[in-house]
Amino acid sequence: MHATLPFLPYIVGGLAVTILASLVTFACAVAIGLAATLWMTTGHPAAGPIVRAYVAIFRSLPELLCIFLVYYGCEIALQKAAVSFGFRPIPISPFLAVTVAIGVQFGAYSVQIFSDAHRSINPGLFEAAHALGLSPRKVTTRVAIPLILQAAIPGLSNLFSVMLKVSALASVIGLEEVTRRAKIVAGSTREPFAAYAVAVVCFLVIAAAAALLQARLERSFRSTREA
Amino acid sequence: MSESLFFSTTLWFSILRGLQITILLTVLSMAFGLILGTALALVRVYGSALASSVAATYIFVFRGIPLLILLYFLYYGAPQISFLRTGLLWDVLFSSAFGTCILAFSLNNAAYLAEAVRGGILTVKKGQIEAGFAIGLTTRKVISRITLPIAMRNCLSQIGNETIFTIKASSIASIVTVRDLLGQAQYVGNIYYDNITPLLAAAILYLVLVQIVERLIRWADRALKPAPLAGAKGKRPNQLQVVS
Repeated sequence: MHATLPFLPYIVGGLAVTILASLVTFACAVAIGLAATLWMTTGHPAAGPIVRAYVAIFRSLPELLCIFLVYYGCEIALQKAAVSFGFRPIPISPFLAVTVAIGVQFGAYSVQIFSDAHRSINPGLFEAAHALGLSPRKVTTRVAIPLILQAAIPGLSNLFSVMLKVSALASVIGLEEVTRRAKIVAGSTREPFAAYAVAVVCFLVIAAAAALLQARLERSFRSTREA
Repeated sequence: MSESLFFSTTLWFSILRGLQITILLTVLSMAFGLILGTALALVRVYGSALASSVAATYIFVFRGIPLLILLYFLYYGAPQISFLRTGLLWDVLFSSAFGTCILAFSLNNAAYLAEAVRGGILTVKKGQIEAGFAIGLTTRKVISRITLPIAMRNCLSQIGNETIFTIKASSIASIVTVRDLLGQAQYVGNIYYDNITPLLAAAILYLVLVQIVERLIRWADRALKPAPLAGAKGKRPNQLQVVS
């Protein structure tokens, strides 16, 4: 235990990376989900089958497999490009690979959340917006997106807390967040029990904070709705 | 990506062996998780205030820890405690990566399944429980013969979702050297200096496996749905209705 204490700030500092990675990935997933949902609502004939296939595929692939596919795939593509265009191969940032892999994967879950949210909205509100003479673009940006986002808050906050946990997988391709740092410390101090216990506590604190935040968010939105 | 490797029997044979391990991991950890999870849900609903809060704490802790960290903690951290390195516990669980994975996944599943089963218990109609007492069953019998079977049927789709999550999460076992579907794909990839092709083959198998499980659950959900009662005018008698 004593050998691990000096490394405490190092492990806990990994929380910043964990949270940053989760936030960027979350933004990525929300953007994909919102775009796909809005595309489906336009009634484009290709939209339905393509989005459904995307959701079915990425819901059934393990996150770890996705991360490896994106990481190795980009590596090979970059190497080939480097050979044919004659530049020095650039190492891929694990942060970028994780953001793309998890963002695209969780985009599939957020499509489901957003399309449920869209279905729960009274269609009369959209008709009213059209009747007011708003252009279709304005109806989307001023009416549809705010209403969908508001209705999606419970689902999205669940998704975010899942994402915080999934971000631990990023340690496998070398992103230095809590898990990776705990592993490094465990290796150098030969006290894996203490090092991983610190990581466990870190994640429990985040989980508690996320639960509190979620409860507060939902309460504030419920009160604005009822008002 | 090389076509010759993708269509070789060597690749598919070794990956199919990995698929067996993935299925075994999923089935065992779901079974243990369901047993522990049901017990936790019962304690949470019927237990004393103290027991209920202990169960709630268990659920919070194991839902909050990422599975990877739990696995690292049990696989690398726990053997530091000397009494875990002796006796049956060491032989069965902690000495092998596979045993540790089963333990970690079961503990994790139990927390999620406890919440699902608790939801199922809370949706059992009060009238059905009262009917059980009215025909003279003891509390224990009412729980085991009436509440739990109906609760299980009510949360079947959630158990199904949890099964799919476990199939996907079991790929984490490959990190601690278990040769499951993903682990076997990486192993083949290392031999042939080709990371991508075996991963794509594994991805196809994961897709097929998840689709099969999804179909099975949808079928079971329909097959177990109770027939509408004569007086209910075609309405499902088991509508979701929270009785607390």
